[in-house]
Amino acid sequence: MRVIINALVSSHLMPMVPLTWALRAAGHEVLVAGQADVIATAHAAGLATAAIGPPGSGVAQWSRPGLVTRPQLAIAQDGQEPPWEEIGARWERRVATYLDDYLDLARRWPPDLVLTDPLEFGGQVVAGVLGIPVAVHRWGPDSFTSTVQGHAARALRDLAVRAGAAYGMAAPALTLDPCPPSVQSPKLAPGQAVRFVPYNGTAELPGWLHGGRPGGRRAAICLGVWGTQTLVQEGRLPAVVRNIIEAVAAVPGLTAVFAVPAAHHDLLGPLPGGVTVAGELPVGLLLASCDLVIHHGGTGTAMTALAHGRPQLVVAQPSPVNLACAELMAACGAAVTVADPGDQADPAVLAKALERTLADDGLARAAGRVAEEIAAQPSLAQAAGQLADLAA
Amino acid sequence: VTGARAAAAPGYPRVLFAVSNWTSHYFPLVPLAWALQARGASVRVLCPAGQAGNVAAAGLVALPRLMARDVLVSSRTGNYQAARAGRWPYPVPPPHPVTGAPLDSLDDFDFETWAASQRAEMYQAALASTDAAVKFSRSWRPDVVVHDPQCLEGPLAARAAGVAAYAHLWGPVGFGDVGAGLVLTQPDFSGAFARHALERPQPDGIIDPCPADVSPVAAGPSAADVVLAERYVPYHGAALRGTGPGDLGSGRWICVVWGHTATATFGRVTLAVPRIAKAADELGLRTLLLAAPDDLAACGALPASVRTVTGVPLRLALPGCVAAVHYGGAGSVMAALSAGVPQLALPCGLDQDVIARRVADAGAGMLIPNHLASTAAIGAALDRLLGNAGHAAAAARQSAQMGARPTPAAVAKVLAAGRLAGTGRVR
Repeated sequence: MRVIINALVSSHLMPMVPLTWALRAAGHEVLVAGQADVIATAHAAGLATAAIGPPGSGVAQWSRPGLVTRPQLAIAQDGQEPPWEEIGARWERRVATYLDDYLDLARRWPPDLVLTDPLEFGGQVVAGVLGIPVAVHRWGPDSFTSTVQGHAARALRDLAVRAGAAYGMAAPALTLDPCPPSVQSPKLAPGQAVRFVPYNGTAELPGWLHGGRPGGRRAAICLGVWGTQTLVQEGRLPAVVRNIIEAVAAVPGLTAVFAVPAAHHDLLGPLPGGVTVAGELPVGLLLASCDLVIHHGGTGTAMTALAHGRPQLVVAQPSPVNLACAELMAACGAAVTVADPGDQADPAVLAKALERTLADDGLARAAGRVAEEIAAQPSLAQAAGQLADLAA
Repeated sequence: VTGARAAAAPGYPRVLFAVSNWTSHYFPLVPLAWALQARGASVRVLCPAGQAGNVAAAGLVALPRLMARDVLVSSRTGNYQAARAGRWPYPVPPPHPVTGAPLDSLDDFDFETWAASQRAEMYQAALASTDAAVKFSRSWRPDVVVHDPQCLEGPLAARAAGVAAYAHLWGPVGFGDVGAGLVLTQPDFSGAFARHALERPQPDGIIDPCPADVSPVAAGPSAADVVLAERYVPYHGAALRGTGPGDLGSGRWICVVWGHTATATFGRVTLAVPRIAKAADELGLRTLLLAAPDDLAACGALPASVRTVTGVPLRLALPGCVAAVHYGGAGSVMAALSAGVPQLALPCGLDQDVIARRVADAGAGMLIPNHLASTAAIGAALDRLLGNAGHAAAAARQSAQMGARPTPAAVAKVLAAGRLAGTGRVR
């Protein structure tokens, strides 16, 4: 079977990578199609790729007016219905930038199946044109991607019909959900559960990660793309990160590892003794030697923490995606959350939250239960078989 | 939280891969590593420092703690010694063992002095490398070790952790083929097994990606108790373009694959691409050429029937071609077998002779020793290869045999199950 895989952004592709390996390891041929940043992530995972769409990195699209698909726009806030017409027009403009390229690729390398994240609708349009099945792979905890399907189908209908899909973009024949059922938002239509396997890139591991470590407990501070971008844009750590670091220093017996790409270490300024700066280190590789994780509400970090059975302190940043993730982590009992900006501005409040995270054995037990639940989900090898059945 | 230093999550094994200093020897292991990672296993790849980038580019976690000799220098040294002993079939001397530059005369290299100067360094490197493997294995405690046959540190790390070692073959060459100048596993220069009071074992298991007709394991008594048959899944490095060479248009195409090993090891005299292209052109065949940049530059002008492609993975270039021509490198041979394309090998030495012979014996290809591969000989061989339907049928049979073997995903399941049932530990 030949499978084309696409994703809106790198962080949506990351959780699909282990399934992609499972497909290759089952003898199937896969090709990741997308724009620069997605392609780079696929390359780093050893996957074959094809660039589609206009040049320029995917990250740059976020600031290009009119081309932006802001996921958070589609999340209902304060009971307000999202502006679907405006969102739909943006989707249509964005998909139109690369659809011809994508169709041309699909003619040169005809796939039997498309596997897509829930927001890169171009794959569903292409599947509609080719008359092949499409499967959706969710990225993890999420509260809104079921809702958007119908709106996207309507917004993209004309574009899809013009491209040759008589019935518009193809509806997912299967939705794979790596977020375990006990954690996933009830706002989503149930998906087919699949085991979440952490993959967040690879790195050369520092020696201390495999060796013993000093007594006391160790936290991993993971601020994902958000943290790095803010660091680079503002030339210094965001205030809330400073506060987190101060809070760690204030908790007796607690040390932390803060993974930041080496290129930006000069921007960090002085740090207290208990906080070690490491180079870019995938959270999954770091967590095995840490007792808890402090993060901003990134869904990849949250899923990885759950898979490792580690409790979390979520200092949720004010994006609906991060806030929703924080809520779901708290709801499953594995996280303490600090979402209030006033609380986030006070290192003493953050230190209290850290102490609670460390003291509450219930958090670790809940995280351990979810880790077992994840391990008990159908394997990726089974999912790969299911995908092959769809295409047969 | 006392469990923080334990394994990643419940029931997931730790699998240590140990690989040698040559991508062709361990790229065939990559899909198995993916399959294990997809099952949730923690995979670490112990490798020589120079391989860290290649390992990471496969999406795997590299531990560049090993030290290994430059494979090209080792191979060229072997050629130089062969030439000294009068066993060198080419009209010009082999390349300089250290630099790879052409030698005018064998006397232009003082082998004895150079070898003596290397001994202490080689010993120190072997000592450091094997000790690093033992140290890491004892601290990380893998549940099972998978290694390429050349990597001595694989079985060593397995013994240090008291777990099974699986040697994963890179192609149709096995432990039974050792001798007559062919060395599979690096010698234990530093006496590592003795120093660490570990018994030097036969492999506990062999993972064999070859179809039965060309398998070195199926051919004779096995060096291991356990042989796991595996389907070969081609991986030749992260591809620049995943869509293949594009529309080939009309005509009958052959795929010529010429990696950099042959020229770098045996000298430019072995670069047969211009002869192959000329022979194919004379037969009315078109040539799809995948070659290393240096070799390509050295080829000079090629017939108009040649199309050169770069950055295309071999597995995607082969379909649509009626034959593959190469020097018998395992990666090319296995990809052609897998694609069901009959092949002509022009082997230069190393393991290429053994591999090419097995493929020819199975009927899936032909071979001409590289030093005899004139344009006329290549043309005649191609004519016979394409004229006899038996070769295409045998090639298709190999492909079908490979397709029927358990996938890397299935082998991963066996390895993981062995561990979970406690059978992975051998003592």
